[in-house]
Amino acid sequence: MHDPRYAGTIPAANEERIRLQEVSFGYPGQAEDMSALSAISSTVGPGLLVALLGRSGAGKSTLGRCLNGLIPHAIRGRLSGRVRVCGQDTSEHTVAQLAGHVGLVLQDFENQLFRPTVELEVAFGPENLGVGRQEIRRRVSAALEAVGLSGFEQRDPMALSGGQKQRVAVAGVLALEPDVLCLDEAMSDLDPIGQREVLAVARRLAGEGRTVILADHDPERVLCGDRALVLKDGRLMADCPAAGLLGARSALPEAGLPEPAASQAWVRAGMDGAPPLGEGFRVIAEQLRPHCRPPETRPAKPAATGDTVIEVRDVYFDYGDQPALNGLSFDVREGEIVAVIGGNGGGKSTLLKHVCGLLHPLRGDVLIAGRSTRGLTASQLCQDVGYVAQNPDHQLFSATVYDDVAFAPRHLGLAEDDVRAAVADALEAVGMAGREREDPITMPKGDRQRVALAGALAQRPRVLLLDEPTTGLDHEEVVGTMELVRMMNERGTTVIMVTHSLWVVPEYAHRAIVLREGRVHAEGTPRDVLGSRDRLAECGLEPPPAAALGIELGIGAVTVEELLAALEVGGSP
Amino acid sequence: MTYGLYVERPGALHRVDPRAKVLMLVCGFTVPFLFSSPAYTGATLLISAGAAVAVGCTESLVRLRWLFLTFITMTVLLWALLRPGPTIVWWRLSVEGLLYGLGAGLKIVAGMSVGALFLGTTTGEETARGLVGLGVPYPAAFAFALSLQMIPGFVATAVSVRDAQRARGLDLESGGVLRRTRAHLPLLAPVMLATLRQSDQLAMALECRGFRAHRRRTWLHEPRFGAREALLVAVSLAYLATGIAVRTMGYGTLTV
Repeated sequence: MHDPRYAGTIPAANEERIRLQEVSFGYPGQAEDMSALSAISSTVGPGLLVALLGRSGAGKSTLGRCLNGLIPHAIRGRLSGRVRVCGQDTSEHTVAQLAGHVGLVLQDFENQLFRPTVELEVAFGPENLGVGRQEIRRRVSAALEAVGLSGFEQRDPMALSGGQKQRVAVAGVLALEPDVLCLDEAMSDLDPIGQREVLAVARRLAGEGRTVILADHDPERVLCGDRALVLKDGRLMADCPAAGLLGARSALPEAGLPEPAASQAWVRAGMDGAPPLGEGFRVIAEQLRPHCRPPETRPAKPAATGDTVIEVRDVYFDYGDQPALNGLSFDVREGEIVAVIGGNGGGKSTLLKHVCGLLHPLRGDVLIAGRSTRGLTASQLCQDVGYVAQNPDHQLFSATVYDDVAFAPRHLGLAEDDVRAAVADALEAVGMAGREREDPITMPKGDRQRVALAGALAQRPRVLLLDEPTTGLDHEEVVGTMELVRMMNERGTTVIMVTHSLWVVPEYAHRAIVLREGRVHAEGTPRDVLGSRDRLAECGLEPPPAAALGIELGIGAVTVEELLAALEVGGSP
Repeated sequence: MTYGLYVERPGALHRVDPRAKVLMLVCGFTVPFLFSSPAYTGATLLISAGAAVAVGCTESLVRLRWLFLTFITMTVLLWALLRPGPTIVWWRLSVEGLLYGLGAGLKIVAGMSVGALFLGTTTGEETARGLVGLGVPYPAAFAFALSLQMIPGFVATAVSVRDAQRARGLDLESGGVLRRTRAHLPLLAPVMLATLRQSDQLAMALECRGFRAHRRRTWLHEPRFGAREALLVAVSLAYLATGIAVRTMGYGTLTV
């Protein structure tokens, strides 16, 4: 049972879509007391948008897989209790038989798209069920309309944007016409516009009477629905209306989840109840305004005064017929943390690959400490520039953490004693000292990210490039990774990081550069860049929640700390 | 950036019933292997490559150019060493061995060109449909088509892994063939692991969408066997018949 402190009043439903009775599940090899799910009980009715929240490893994906029968039919383990969806006991029906009742959209949408056109991709499910051609056409058309992709029928799914691909994956499951739809971390790899698109579709589907479950580790993204289930270490910690997780009695901190900025501001101002998160920041700001102090001038982070270490001069690059960089120019000074942001396809990753020598400009030049990268390979530049790829799994290959981190120092020709010292320093920096003999491949993603980071650090580079260092990590893991980045920077490493998590930009970066269509669209302090909603919108971006509230309140706050400081405690002056 | 061979354009063979194209593939692949003389296998290469260019698959051929060159070079060298002849050019290499190797290399490349012609005009989806139309069970046809479709993803993963390792100092550019081949070894583990993870996800995604749920699967688009298909079958069979006839008359083989 969930913690009664966090039980809100859940209206009784006339119809029951999901019934979980004492559901427990343990993966093979998992200890009995460390089960992925422990005694979960709940019921959910139709027409609800349900947020399923929890940190990485809390059991969200496992629960989703129980709902559509992947557990126990495709994934073996110890299952006890009963899962009934739309009146069907999932242990008595195959995944395929349940597919018409419950749809599960998996986290990695890229791997779910395998047909050449959007139309065929969406038709795959009904075709498998043996549905007649006319009916398939109707379903494809209805599913694409539901996700706002009518007119995309003949497009190649792999050529669409991230948000569009995710919506195609949703449409592919919707065409099975399920009554229950579960989206597992559907928004974590999307830019803000893509996230908004998916959320709007989820709302519309719930409005049509379906039960829609959004599993996520970020309450900010999904706590605008009707209901919330919070998992912690496989246990159901809270089962309440979504608004019950906002405001003073929130269960989120105890679950290790971040409280939405608006909720923190609401509590700070001493407001009753919960902020109307689903109605937008303007409405919340209007209610917070009477508690707001007059705007004050905030000191910017001191600008780096070191020498210019990277010069990107009028760089052009394309992938065949796809332009990527289009006259890009900017400088980075020694000791800076520069955040590079922009919508999908803006040229961010291509830029990083130019700086570390993986790619070379077709026109223009890139200089590292005054030396052109032309004619130099990435391996020749690796002493100056460390690069951590978006997916840490692409970097790790050794049987032990030690050997993986030692790869670059050995390549650089260091003596074994120096290699040992470099590895020890790097592992100490990322908090992995003592784990040298572990196999990195089997570690949780947050730890794999740390090993990858240590691998780059062991090169002792002047400049560290991070491509989406926070993707797929939950809030605590993001904070852990970014604190590491800050510490390395304080030790003298210049950092350029590409990120979709805009809230980390004002917290950690000295400067932000917005890329759009391969050139600099905006550049300045994080406060200047994130404070300009229109400039961001032109690139498909939105200010992070604290900054959005700051804009609405006219107080210039861009971080949660600044937002809270601008509000009067408890609502009284 | 795409790594597959399929080229989307309104070409003469695009949208043709895949069953007819599977027959074309079989005939086009068989004919070069009827001959051993480089003049004849070269002619079949010209026919298949010319057909690929004519239907708009030049891009597919261009993407395979290094593979073609590698195959021809390796085959010529291998056969030149393995097949001794009386007319020695240098060391153990004979004119006869070199000619045999050239004929073998050209026939392989001719077969690959027909493959490029097929894959350049046929999606994995259509391939599966064609195979099912020819009686192959759907799960087997789907697995075959999916493996073709996964190649671009596999290559993209390999490129991404290669980039990540080069940035850590892995030198893939310098040294001889052996050193460069050995330098690629660290790429294997991450590529295989990433591919296994992707396959695992894909298998679950297929289950979630009712794969093999129903004994009689339906199709949104049913291929139609019309005049274009009949013409393609006729041309393919005529090509095969001509090849067999020429070979039966004793032409196209090396006499030594």
